[in-house]
Amino acid sequence: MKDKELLNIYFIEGRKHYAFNLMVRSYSKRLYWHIRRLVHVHEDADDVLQNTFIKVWKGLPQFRAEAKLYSWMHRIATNEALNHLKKQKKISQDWDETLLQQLEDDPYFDGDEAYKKFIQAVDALPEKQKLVFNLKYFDRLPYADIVDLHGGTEGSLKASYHHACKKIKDFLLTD
Amino acid sequence: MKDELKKYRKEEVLKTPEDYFDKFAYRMQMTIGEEEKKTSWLTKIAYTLKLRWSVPLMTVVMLSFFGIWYEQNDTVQLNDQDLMLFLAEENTDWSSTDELMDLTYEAKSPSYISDQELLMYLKEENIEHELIQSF
Repeated sequence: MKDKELLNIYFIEGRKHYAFNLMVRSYSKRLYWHIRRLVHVHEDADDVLQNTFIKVWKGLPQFRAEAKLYSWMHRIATNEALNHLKKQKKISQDWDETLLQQLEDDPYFDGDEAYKKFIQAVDALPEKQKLVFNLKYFDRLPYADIVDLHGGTEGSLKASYHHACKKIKDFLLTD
Repeated sequence: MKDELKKYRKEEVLKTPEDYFDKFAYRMQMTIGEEEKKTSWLTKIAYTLKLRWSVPLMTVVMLSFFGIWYEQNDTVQLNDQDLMLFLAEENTDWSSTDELMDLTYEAKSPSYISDQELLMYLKEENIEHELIQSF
């Protein structure tokens, strides 16, 4: 169902819950994987996703249809995930160690050693490069769509992705 | 270089619990219901607090406003001594009684200068005034 149709239903008296349920069903999977690649652990991703949708619910009455619904939700999810990470990093003395421990404790991670190393490399990237890398590498989004989600120009995003790839490769080669 | 990284794109490494997304949608409906209850409860409290505090607050504001207004508009009761003090402070050279009279009227103060004293003053100052002619 298209954004416009979802919003039309939402603004019909008495259909808010139904429309919101449709939104959750339409976008939760995409948002979950975006969040999971930032926070890595299922339990954290679940919390962040829930907080994201609570914010979406609270913000929907003010949402203007000029913006794309998914782009708006994606921005909320990104902010929530990054804030969650910041909080975690603040309370952790050795973040790399904590991250590895969290991955090992996560029952929804298969324990692949090479992937653990890869996640560490991605996690060490600066915020913007990490976001661009995830969207391009995992979601295989075209640059035009990433511009829609995070702004900037295609040129700057290409540069970010290139730098991110180089840093990850260097990180993986160091050990 | 990017091809070297392709091998890490393993979809199966990260998993979710079974039927996670269906269950999540249901859980979200429940959470939103609770959020709404919480919000309506908070709204009720806010409304009650608004009523409870707005009436006394408005009373205090109005009393303060009228208190200040009354203080500013209160008539000043000057006696001769105050007037003399004022004249001394201002170091005013009174060239005519008109100014003194104006000042007296402006201050809305009852003057305790007797007509006799006023006549004497006028005569001393050699001021022609209708008050002299009336006597």
